[in-house]
Amino acid sequence: MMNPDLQIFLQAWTGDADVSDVERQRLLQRIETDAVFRTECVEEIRMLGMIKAVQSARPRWLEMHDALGLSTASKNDCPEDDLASRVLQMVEARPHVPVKGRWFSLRPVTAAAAGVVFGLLSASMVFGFAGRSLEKVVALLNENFESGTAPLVTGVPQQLKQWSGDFSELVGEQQDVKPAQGKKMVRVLRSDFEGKTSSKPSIQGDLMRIVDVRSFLREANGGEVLITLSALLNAAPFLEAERYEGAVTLWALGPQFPTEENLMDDALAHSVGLCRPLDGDPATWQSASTRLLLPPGTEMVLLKVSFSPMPASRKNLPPLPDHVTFAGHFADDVRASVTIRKAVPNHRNEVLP
Amino acid sequence: MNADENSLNTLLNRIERGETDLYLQVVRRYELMLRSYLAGQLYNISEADDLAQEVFITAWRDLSSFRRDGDFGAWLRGIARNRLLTYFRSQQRRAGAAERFQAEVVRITEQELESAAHYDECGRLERLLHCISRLPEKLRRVVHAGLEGARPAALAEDLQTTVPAIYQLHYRANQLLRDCMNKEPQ
Repeated sequence: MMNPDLQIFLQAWTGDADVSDVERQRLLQRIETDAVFRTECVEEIRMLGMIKAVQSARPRWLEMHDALGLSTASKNDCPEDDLASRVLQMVEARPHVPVKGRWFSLRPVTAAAAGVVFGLLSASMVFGFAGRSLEKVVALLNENFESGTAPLVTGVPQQLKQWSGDFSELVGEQQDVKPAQGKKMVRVLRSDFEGKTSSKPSIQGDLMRIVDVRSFLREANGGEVLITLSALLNAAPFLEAERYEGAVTLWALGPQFPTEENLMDDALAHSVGLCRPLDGDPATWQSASTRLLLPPGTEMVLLKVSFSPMPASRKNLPPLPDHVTFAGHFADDVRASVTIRKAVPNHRNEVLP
Repeated sequence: MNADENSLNTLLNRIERGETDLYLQVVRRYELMLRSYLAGQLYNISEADDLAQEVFITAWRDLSSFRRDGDFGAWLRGIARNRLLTYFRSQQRRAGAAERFQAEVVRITEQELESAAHYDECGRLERLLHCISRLPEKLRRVVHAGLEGARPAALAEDLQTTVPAIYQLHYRANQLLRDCMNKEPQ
């Protein structure tokens, strides 16, 4: 059984519950004086850290590449022996368990690099093998917004291969933010869209696109299809009291185009990659990435890039405003790819231990 | 000096002689260990990743000060500890009670965290991913939901259980994961 103080410790550590100052002090004193309890705490926070690190996408670390003076090709280098390949190889040997549930059956997978996988692929649909015979990587999207076509501002897209979402505009360099790629980027302006009828307020400014994935699932022939999404995000300086986060989200959908109201209920699974908080430094583009193993029945996938303000406190949240206006929030270099892993026979369904 | 250390030293010597791109191999070898180490001390993975990047940049700049008979992972964690201290100090002004509590816990448990991280070589951490995939469905869902930032109260509602039960499930999941990581052959 879990030590009751360990639960209070984790609540205080994660900020999930209101723990009083007196209680925090008592916990700190116990950690300092009780070696057994200290070890328990260390084991738990270490495991939380390891879980986060292995399951989140590998960062792109552009700043490090710049500091080292490495070329763009190196930044996108995806050598066969890297973590992504090794983890994918390991996942290949994992029993295949179909996902049956609704949104909470999400399966964000692997520590593999989101951005890293794409670099060797061109903007068009290109097939290439990621070093392993059973696996194929398909570049799905490499969007730099250079075509000059502005996203629609009419909410969730109702057509394939079309950017749509909340109020946004295509812009060049502004507020000291330079496009990450080329001369254009998208500026997200508000968290609502033209003709919004839903009474549900939203504080999230979204940019969305829907892609058809049926051919990939057919090709996998009962195997696994993994979709990856990444985007670069930037924000002009904002007030010190404000905090913002960016996110990329993947939604696995059935045959119907969703609406804002039914997206959460009708999606088969989803996965989120957060970039939190945005640093408000125009010179740095921060990356967000996520991966999703598509559940059976998936026909389309909604790709979403979004910004939202972060509440100053996790408790006593104020009522949501009708919409949020963003002073200078930008997205560029949105990339998506699909990894197809054909079914491997003789898998056993195992559980621990 | 074992073969691994030998090859690492060869790599470091070549990097120092100007083959900078080889540093990416060093990063790949140690990044999961370092990110895990930092993520265990910072609630937010993106903050941990930012610090990990700073650590790798600092290590690259100070490579000549690394003693070749030393433990490179421990050296990186030493840089990381200093960065963490600086980070906590810089956040002090805007930090809430939860962040101050975190910083204090890290200070008290510094030695234990370092001793435990000593065994976190990349292969062992990758094994964790495999271990998560083998968790029973309910425990796996709790682990994933935590990663997604779901609040225990919301998760308890989804799973039709209580908040203490969610913590208990996560605790059980962590126990199973530790056992699996220790038993699982490479």
